[in-house]
Amino acid sequence: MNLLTPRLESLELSTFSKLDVDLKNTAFFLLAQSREYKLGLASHNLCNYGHPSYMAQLLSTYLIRPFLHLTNYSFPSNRMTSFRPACKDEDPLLARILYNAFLPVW
Amino acid sequence: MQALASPLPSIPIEAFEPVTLSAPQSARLDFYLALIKLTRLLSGSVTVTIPPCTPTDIDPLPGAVLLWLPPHARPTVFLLWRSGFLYVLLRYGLTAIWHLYCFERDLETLNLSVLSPLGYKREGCGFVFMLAANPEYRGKSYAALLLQREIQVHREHFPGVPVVLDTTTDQALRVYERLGFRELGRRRIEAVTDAEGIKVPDAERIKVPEGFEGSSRATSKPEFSQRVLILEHEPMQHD
Repeated sequence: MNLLTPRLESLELSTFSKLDVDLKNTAFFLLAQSREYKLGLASHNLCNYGHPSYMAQLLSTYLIRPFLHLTNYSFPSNRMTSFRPACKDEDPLLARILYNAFLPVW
Repeated sequence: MQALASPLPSIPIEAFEPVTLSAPQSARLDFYLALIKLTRLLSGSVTVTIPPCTPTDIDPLPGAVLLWLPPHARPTVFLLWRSGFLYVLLRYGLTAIWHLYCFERDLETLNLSVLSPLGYKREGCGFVFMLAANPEYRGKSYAALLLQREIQVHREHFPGVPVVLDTTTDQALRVYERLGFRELGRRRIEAVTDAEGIKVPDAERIKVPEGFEGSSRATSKPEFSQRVLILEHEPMQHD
């Protein structure tokens, strides 16, 4: 945990300059969250609750996941049903779910 | 709305390769996409249920989708245009636009007639714009859980403000009633389709008496009713 916190905190705004606002907010929220809770939770959120973009996956895969073994975090929340806001990238997927759910009504 | 002659085939939800869609399929898909965009433009929320991971499915698809509108979210022509909804309607054609207009007009009348006596307005309430369960996870109650959670959030932000919705199917009605919603009123829908959205030949349509459940023209068989339901914070005291 001690190894990780400085690394995470060293990320500055410029790191995220090319990302869209939503992802920036998500990333900073998760960084803030990681100080308060387990770091693994942040990684888990990046993968499952955060922005499912390439950059989020990249952050999670190369920045956080390699150090997960230093924490006592496992992915318990994966075993539970969870809820989250959908991001805009998912709109086509959600449209297909709605299409199939209401088929063929109206 | 499309008055289909036969049911639309389903499409793969998780498409790894481009899927060729027919024109009605494409129009229907764009319709739902526009509704999602419209929800976002109206500051509504688009939330999903994520099922638990399993060894065979480590990255599950959303189990349910909820389009939720907060109180006082009212679509304008500008927002309808920006969401792409107007374009979708134009693709459906003038007849579909007319049917949709009649549908919304009658629904508005029904809303007024059932909500006004209670002192509410449709725009002043939280509104379940659309709630759907992913067919791959049917029977898991993901949609109900999602709605329950959103109602909790709504109650925190808008204490005392009820939630309203309208629905057509009996199955959905039962789910909503289990969550505490109660039916305020219903009307038969003036449509050229049956309850499944399939076009009904003229000869099979039945005539509804003037003024019967709000409808005054020919309607289809079997019964296709729109119900308005409400969930209040404090149950109404009835004499």
